[in-house]
Amino acid sequence: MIGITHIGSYIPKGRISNIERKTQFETDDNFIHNKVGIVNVSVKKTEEGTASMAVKAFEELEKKNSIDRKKIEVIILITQNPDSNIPHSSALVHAELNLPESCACFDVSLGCSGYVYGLSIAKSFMENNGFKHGLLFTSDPYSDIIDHEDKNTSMLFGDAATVTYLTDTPKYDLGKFTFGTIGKECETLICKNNKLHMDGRGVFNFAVKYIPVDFKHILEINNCLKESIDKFIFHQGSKYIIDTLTKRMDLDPSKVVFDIAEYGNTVSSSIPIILEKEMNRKSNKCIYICGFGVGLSWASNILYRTD
Amino acid sequence: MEVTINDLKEILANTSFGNNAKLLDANDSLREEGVDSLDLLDFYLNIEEHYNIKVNDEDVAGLLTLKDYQKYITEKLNEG
Repeated sequence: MIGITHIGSYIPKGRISNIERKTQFETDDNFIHNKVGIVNVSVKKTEEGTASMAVKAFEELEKKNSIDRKKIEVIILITQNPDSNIPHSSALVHAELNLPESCACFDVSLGCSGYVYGLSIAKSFMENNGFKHGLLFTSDPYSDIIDHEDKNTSMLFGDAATVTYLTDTPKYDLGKFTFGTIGKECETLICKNNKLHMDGRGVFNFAVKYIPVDFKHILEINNCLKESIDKFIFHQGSKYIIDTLTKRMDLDPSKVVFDIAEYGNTVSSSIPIILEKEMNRKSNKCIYICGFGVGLSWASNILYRTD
Repeated sequence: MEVTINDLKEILANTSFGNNAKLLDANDSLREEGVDSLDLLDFYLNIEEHYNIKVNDEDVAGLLTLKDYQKYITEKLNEG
């Protein structure tokens, strides 16, 4: 069975402070710290792009783990901001990492639900083809499409990339997945003229109405009790959304992770950045992950520790 | 269905504004009393779910006090 073995993350060192912009955005420290929950957003260097950030995530992975590049059979890159339309950015990553010619490469266009979708795609693709070593990248440099005068988006989104090493000897097995899409609401989060536009009320309503219903479904199909989940990792949209989901789903707040104050909402990278840390706690036998956003779409899974 | 100020205080108390809602008067400005933009999003959704109505984006700018909400919701319910 294919599952998650290791994760590497790259968060650029550049920062834009929301505190320094509080007058411009007519807000205050309390709102920034306790409601939005994002004090700084990470921002890449101008010369960095989707593929180069992904490569840096892989270098972080290699610093902590021994990875034999010659064994990699597939790389999948989740992004909606590729370096170019042609070629696909995963091919650029392939070249930069000097991976084998036999390695399959493709991009997947998804946003905040993308990591969970990507796990399902990688697992299916690898198991169907008898592969044992794959890499799932997330890399979405939103700073390229953010209008820094737009409070709705500029205070939230940060740049980052991650890579998840999937093998047949994983640290975490993957449970059954749930997915969903409300396509008629797709303009709630949309990029027009190369700028991101977000209807904050629409995103909030979508998340807090649909995710609690989906949660009951995923518990049922995995024959899992809410009480047996050790950690809840939602897509890190904003503190207010996570707090509202915690309340509506009647979760133990000590089990719900929110940890993006210093870099912001990193889209498809938000879950794996948190998961990388939580995987190191042996007490996390069972972890719920749920991505939601662009589409509007969502995907959820329950991860089970193997040792 | 009758819409009371106390019902609206209960609904608002379900947001992160919490029990401060119970101290409001019907004609207090919610924003001036500290209800922020995110609490309002939660308040709108809770109203929609409680009364099974739609709180339209184009209407919310005119809703400043609990009294305004009471009138707005009552009219929506009477529209049927």
